Amino acid sequence: MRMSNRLSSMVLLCCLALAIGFTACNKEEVDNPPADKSADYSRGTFVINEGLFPNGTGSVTYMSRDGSDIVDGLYQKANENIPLGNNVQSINVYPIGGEHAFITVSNANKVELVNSKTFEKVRTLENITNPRYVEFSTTYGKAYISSWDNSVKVYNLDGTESYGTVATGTGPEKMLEVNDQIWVLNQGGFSIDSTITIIDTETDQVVETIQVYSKPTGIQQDKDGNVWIICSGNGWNGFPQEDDSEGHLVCMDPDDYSIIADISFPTVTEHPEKLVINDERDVLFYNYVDGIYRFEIQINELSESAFIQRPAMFYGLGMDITANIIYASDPLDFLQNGVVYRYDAANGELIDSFEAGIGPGEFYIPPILVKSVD
Amino acid sequence: MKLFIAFFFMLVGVFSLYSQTDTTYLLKEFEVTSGRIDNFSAGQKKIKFDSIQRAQFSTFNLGELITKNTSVHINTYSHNGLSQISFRGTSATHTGIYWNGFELNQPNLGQIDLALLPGGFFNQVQLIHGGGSSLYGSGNIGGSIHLNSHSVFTKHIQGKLQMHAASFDEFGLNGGISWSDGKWYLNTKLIGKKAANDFSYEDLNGESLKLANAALEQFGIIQDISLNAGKDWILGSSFWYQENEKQIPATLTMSSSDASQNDRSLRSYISAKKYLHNGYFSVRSAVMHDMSHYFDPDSIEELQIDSKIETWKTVTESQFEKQVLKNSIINAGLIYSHTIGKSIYYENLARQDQFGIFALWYQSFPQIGWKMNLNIRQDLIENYDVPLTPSVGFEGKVYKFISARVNLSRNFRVPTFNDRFWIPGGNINLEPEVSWNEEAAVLFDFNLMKYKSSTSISLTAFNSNVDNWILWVPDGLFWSAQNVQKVWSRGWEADITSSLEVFGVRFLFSGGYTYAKSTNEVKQSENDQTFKKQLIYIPEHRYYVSETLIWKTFSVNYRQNFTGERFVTKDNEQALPGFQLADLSVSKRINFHQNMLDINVSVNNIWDTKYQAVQYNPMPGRYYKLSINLTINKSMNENE
Repeated sequence: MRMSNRLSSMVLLCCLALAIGFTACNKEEVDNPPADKSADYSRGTFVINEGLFPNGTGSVTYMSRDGSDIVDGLYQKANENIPLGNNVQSINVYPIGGEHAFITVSNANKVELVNSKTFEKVRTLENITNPRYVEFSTTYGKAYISSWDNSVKVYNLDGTESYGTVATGTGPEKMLEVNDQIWVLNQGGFSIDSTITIIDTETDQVVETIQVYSKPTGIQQDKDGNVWIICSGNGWNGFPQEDDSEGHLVCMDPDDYSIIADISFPTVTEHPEKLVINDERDVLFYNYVDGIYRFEIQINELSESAFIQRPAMFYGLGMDITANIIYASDPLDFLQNGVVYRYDAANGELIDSFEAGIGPGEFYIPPILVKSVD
Repeated sequence: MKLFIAFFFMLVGVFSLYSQTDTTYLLKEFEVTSGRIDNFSAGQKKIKFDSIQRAQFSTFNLGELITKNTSVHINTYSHNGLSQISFRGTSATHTGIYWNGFELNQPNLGQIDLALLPGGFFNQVQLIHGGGSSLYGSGNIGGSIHLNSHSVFTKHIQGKLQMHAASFDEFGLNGGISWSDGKWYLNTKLIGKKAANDFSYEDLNGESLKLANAALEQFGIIQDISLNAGKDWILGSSFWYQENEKQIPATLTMSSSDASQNDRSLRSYISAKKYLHNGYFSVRSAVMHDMSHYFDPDSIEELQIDSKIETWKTVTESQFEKQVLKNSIINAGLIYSHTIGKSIYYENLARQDQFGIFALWYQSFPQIGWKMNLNIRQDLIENYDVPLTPSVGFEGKVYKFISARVNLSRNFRVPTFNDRFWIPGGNINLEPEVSWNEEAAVLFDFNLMKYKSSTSISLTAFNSNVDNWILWVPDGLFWSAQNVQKVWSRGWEADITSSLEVFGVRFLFSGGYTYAKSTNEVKQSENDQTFKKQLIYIPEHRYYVSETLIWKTFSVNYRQNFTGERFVTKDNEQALPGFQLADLSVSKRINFHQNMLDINVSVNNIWDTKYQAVQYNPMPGRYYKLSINLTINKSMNENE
C-alpha cells in the first residue's frame, strides 16, 4: 500500500510536469522575413490565390517572367504580415506601368491599392459589396470596379476620388475596355444572368445592354477589333440538371453590336469557362472539361479535342502575350497549396509548373515593352 | 411494424427458456432509459461526469463541459458559438450524441452543435470513446455522448433556482422542480440564457474592436413524467423543446456580418419498461423535429441567403434483456426509424428508412474477475450496403491493483441528407463510411485508507481505420460529396483521477492527455500534397488538468487545458499555434435546514491568453462569471 501511494504521488507529479512541459514547448511563430523594399515586382506575374475555404486569407504569388524567382504571400511580406482577407478575387494594374495595383477582396468588401513595384499598401477602398474585377479606361484614366451590388464603381487611378456608380445587370464580373467603352459581363452572382452592360467611359452612362447567353465568363478583343465572349451556360460540369443549357462562343462587332458569329457548344452538361487570346490576337483559348481548347478565329469552328489535355478542368487561365505562354492553375481542394502550369501557346507543350498559394484562380501578366517601363 | 413485434416476441420466447435464478443480474431500479452501455461496452473507455462537475458547469454548454474536463478535442468557432467535437482524430459527424438513447445528430448535417446543449439539463453525461455501431448503429466511429435522465420514485420534492451573470452581458436563469409521491415522478427543467458576447478583440490591422453581431438567446424546457404503474411496469414520457437564436459574427478576414441562425428543436418520447425476473423488456418511441433557419440579409436580393432546413424523425425501439445462464446476460432488440428532410436545396423531400437488429451478450468470469461482451448488429438502410457491425470486448483484473481492457469493433456511418441531396453536389451514389476500431488499456488503482486517498490511472492505446470517408471535393466551381478518403487514426490517452484528505482538507486531482495522429491515406491526384498528412483542425496533443481543494463548505478549483498546434491546410503547410486556457473558481455552500445555497465565482481564461481556436475567428480574453444556485428540498417521508 505504501508503495502504491508513492507511485500515485509520482504519477501525479509526472502529470503536472507534463503539463508544464507543454507550456514550455509552445513554440513561437516564426514571422516571414519582410520583402525587399527596393524590389520591383511590376514586371513579373502575379498569381491570385483566393485563400483557404471558407474564410482563410487570400494571397498573391509573385513569379519573375523567366520563372527563376517566386515569392509566396507577396502582400503579407510587403505589409508587415497583415493578411489580405477573404477571398482575393483579382488584381489589375493600369497599362502600362501604372503606379497602383488594385486587388479586389470579395468577402471583405474592399479593394486594396498597393504600390505596383513594392507591393506596399497605399490605401483601401472600403464598403464595396463583393468587389470582383477592375478594368481601366486608358482614354480617360479611370478605374472601374465590378461589384455584386449589381453595379460598377468608378474611381480615379489613385482611388482617392469616386466618380460614381453605374448600374449593371446581376453579378457583374469580368470587364474589358473596348475602344471608348467598358464591356461588363453580368454573370449572375448567386443566380444567373446572361447580359453585357456597355458603359461609355466619357460619360459613365450605360449605352447598351446586350442579351447573350447564360453566364458570360470571358471576353477578348481580336486583331480585327471584334469582341469575343464566352458564355458557360446554365449548370455545373458533372452535375446534370433539368434546366442546363449549352455554352456559347459569341463574336460581336463593337460598332453596331451585331453578332458576327454564334457558336454553340455540343452538350448542355459540359460548360466552358474563361477566355484568353494569343499575342497575334487570332487564337482564343478556353477551359473545358478535359483541358485547354484552342479556337482559331480564321477557322471559326470549335475543336473536338483539347489542345492541352488534362483529366480534369483547369481553374484559372492566363496568357503572357509577350512570351506567348499559357498559364493554367489547379487549385486542388482549396485546402492546400495549388499548382500553376505554364505551356507554350504555339505547341501546347508544358514548360514548367510551380506551387502557388491556396486556390490560384486569376493571373496578372503585364505585357513587357522593349523599352524600360521606368 | 406488426411483423417486427411478432418477431420480437419470438425472441423473447426463445430467451425465456434459458432463464435461471441467479444473483448476477442487478436490477437497475426505476430506469426509464434502456441504456445498453453499462452491460455491453466492455473494453471501451468511458467517462462519466459526476455531480460535482455537473454542478460546477451547469451554466456552461456541453462543449465547454467536455473541453474543461476531458482531453477530447472540441473546435469552437466563437464564444458561445458553434462547437464541434472530435474524438480520437475523427470529426463531429463520427460522434453519435444521444438523449436517453435517442440520437440527436441532425439528419441533414450528421452532427449537432454542442453549444446548443445545456450542460445542466441532464442527470448524467457519459462519454464513450471509440466505436459504438454494435450498440447504436450509424455514426459511432470516433465516440459517443450519452445524455441521460433518471426517474426517482423516492418520495421527494425538490426545487432548484440558478442565476448567473458573466462578462459580455451574459445572463442566465435556470429553474427546475422535481417531485415524486412514490408512484408518479415529475421533473421540469427550464433554462434561459442571453448573451451579447461582445468581447474585445484585435482586427488584422491590430485595432481593438468589440465583436459585433455575436448575440445569443436560448430558451429550453424539459418535462419528464414517469409512472411506477405496478406489476413491475414503469411508464415514462419526456418532452424537450428548445429554441436558440444566435447571430453569427464576421471572421477577421471578412467585412461585417449580419447573419443569424435560428434553431428550434422539439423532441419527445414515450416508453414502457416491464421488469422481469432478472431482466426487462422495453418499448420506446420518439419523435424528433429540428428546424434550422440561417438568414443573411442583403439589400441585393441575389445576395440574400435565406436557408431553412427542417427534419422529422420517428424512432421505435424495443429491447429485451435477461440473465440467461449463471453469469451471462443477453440483450436483443429491434430499432426502426423513419427520417424526412425538407430544404429548398433538396429537389424533393429527403427520406430515409432505417432498420436495425442487434443481439448482445455479456459474460462474466467471477473466478478471475473478468467480463466479456460479444455484440452483433445489422442495420438495413435503403440504398446502402451496410456491413455487419460486431464488437468484442474484455475487461478485468490482471494483478492486484492492475487491470486491463481491450475492445475490437466494426463501425459505420451513412451519408447525411446534405451529402446525398444538396443541390448542387449532393451525391445519391455515396457509400457508407466503414471502420475497424481497436483499443487496449491498462489501469492502475491505488488506495490508501489512512489519507482517504485513491488514485486511478489508465493508459489507453487506440487505432481506427476509416474507409470511404466522405469529403466535399471541388471540380472548378462545382463541389460534390465523394467517398474519397481513407483515414488512419491512432494514438494514446492517459487519464488520472486522484483524491486525498489531509487535516480535513480534501484534494481532488484529475487530468487527461490525448495524443491523436489522424492521417489521410489516399493520394487524391497527382498534385495532392495531403497523403499521410494530419487532418486539419485535429491537434496531436491535448490535455487538461483540474485541481480542487475542498474545506468544509468552501472549495477552490483550478483547471487548465492545452490544445496543441492544429493544421489549417491539408498539406500541413499552415498551422494555428497551440494554446493554454485556465480557469479559477471559488465556491461557498450555505446549508439551511435541508436546503442549500451555492455561490460560485469564476475567472475564466485567467492568463488572458490570446488565441484562435478556428482560424480568423476571434476569442475572448479573461472573463468573469458569478452564479448563485438555490436548492430547496422537502422530504415527504417525515409526514408519514
